[in-house]
Amino acid sequence: MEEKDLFDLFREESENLVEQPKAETWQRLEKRLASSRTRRQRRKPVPTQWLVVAVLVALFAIMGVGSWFVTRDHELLLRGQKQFADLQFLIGSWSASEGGVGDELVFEPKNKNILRGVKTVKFKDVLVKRDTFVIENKGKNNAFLYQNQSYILKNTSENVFTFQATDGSVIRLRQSLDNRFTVSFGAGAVFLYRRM
Amino acid sequence: MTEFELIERCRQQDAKAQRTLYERYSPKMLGVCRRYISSREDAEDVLVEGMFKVFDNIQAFQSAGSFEGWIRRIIVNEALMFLRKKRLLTVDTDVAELNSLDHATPLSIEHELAAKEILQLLDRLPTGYRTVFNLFVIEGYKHIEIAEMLNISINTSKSQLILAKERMRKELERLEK
Repeated sequence: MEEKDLFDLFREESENLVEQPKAETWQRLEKRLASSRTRRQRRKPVPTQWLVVAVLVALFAIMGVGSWFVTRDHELLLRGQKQFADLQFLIGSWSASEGGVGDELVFEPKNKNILRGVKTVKFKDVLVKRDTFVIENKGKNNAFLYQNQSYILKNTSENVFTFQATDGSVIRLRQSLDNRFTVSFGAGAVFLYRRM
Repeated sequence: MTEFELIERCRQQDAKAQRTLYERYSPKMLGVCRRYISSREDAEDVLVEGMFKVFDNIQAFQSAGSFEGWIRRIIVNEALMFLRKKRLLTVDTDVAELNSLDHATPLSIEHELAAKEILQLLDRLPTGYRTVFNLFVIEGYKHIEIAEMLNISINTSKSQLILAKERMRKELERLEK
């Protein structure tokens, strides 16, 4: 018989080294595979493309909300500035007089951020009362200061500017159609002024 | 079912395909386990663990290579892990035995060996010798690779192989008598 190298013989013969596993070996493996399958199904991996979509959606949402806040803030600022400019136009053009008997309302010349008005009440040319009020441009909220009370500009419609204090009292500035400028303090007292 | 279809279905966690794949490869893979581990019970444990890893990692299999070779590598690694865990993988070198050997003589055999006899011969070797022998002669790893796998030096791997060969020679002589 031809002599053979042991290594070669092993190499050749190892391929024939097969053993049939016991039936229970498959059952054990099957059990493990089944539980692994259940686990996999329970925590189904999120496909990468969905993760990318989720990240993008979250990014857009954050950007959207952020930009909404910025825009809203900017709009509020612009609205406040416009209201003030309207007030400047309205009041500044009325260095007014004539109202109730002996009353006078004088606005200071235009100031960038402050409109100051002086109301005097005279009786037979004698000064009986002198009030000042200030409308200050505070950006988003224009405030009307009168008798140490702060009135916040609540709304504007046409040429009516409504200021309201925390106690609920209201001051309205109104340009009337008949070329009159009305300042209403509280519920009843109305002072009318006309362009000089 | 072709091997490609079988792999694809196993990737989709098809239980039937997993069974088919197991039936196709498990006898051979148990044979691989048995070459490393003498206890049949332990070898079957390693087979279960190894085949589970095959199914669990089948997504990672690159279809370009040999599927059987891929399974085999997993099973061999699993067997080595088992030996390490059980602290059976001691690679002590008998220096006196090593010095007395004539390394140059090729180990030849006059009669054919059956697979069963090979297994018997392997079973008689200490675990360290047998592991290096298996990795070098049958799996075809180089000494440098074996050294890395078993965390030993290249020289230890070489001497383990020489000693394994010598033990084999003695066993074969006994077998021939």
